[in-house]
Amino acid sequence: MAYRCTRCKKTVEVDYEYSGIRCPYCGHRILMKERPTTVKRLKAV
Amino acid sequence: MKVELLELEGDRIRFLLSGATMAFANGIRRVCMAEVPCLAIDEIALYDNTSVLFDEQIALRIGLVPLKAENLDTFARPEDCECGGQGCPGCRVDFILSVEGPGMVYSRDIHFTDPGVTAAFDNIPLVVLGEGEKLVIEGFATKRIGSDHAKWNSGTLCGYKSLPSIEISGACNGCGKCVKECPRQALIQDEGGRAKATNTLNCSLCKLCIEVCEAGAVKIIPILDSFVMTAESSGEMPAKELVASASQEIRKRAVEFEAKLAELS
Amino acid sequence: MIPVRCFSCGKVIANVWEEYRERIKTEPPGKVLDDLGVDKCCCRRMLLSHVEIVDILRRYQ
Repeated sequence: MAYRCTRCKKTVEVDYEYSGIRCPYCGHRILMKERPTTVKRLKAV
Repeated sequence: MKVELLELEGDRIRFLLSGATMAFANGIRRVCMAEVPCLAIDEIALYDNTSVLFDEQIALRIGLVPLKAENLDTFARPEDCECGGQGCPGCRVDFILSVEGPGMVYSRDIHFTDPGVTAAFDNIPLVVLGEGEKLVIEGFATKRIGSDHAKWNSGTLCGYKSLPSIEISGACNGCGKCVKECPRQALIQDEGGRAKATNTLNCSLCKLCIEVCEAGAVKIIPILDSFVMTAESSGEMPAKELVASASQEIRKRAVEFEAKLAELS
Repeated sequence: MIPVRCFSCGKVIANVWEEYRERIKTEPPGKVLDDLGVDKCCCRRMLLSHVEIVDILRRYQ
């Protein structure tokens, strides 16, 4: 799953083995989840 | 049964139905409200949405847009279609909505593959897009009825009331109180000062005039086999067509019912 | 964003919203609603009581 660092704006892969969330490039602790590229199907209700 | 047109103005109709039972009038009302089939966007596929609104919110807003179809009769309801509800051009109309910001996305931006189908109103604001935001949606509309979901409601305001008959007896002393009290101006005073009914169609049977009349001269009797019916469509079709297809729908069901009964006996 | 249809009766009200918003700057809202053909109380409250916050909130996207 792709995340994006809010400081350096780089795409980040999160290592779930490692305890704690951290950007490997700048060390920032806030990451944002990217919108998946798949097509989303919805009922229009 | 007699039908007399009182008022017809685009998506609103008012007519007098006489010589029918209340059950029949109510049947027309109910069918107008929830059983007349029309088109509405059923399912969407979101390719891109970077707007401020959530996907689900956009889906709801797009679904509620009423759609006008010139060739509504050629479409079948998905469950009655030859394809068995799989989806084919006989029961679906595909559309595409692809807009890039900045600006407002309107209902006129929805483009259908069938040129006979358009949004009934072209200036319904759907989503607001900022600089660089994008919305790409594909989907299809189907023909269903209002009892499936409110977005397929063809009629919004449909109702009826019994036609009142206002009688003034000889006891009227010409005080004029009832004329003042009537909120719908259904009474006037004639030359002699006595109350007289004028536009009985407007009377809402509130009976304020009876309460205020000290002499007890006013009498309001609903005529039980005459109804003032009002119907307003939500924009998919003119009101005239709405009532016409409502009565067709009733007939269709009656025929089906008759066939079922014949099977049983 | 203004709801597309009236919550109670289902009449489309969003199509008059932009004109309504412009006109109430100079005219009394009741008159504008009469003029636009929004005459049921349920539809009138939809426009009268609506506060457009999308323009304020989208700056914080």
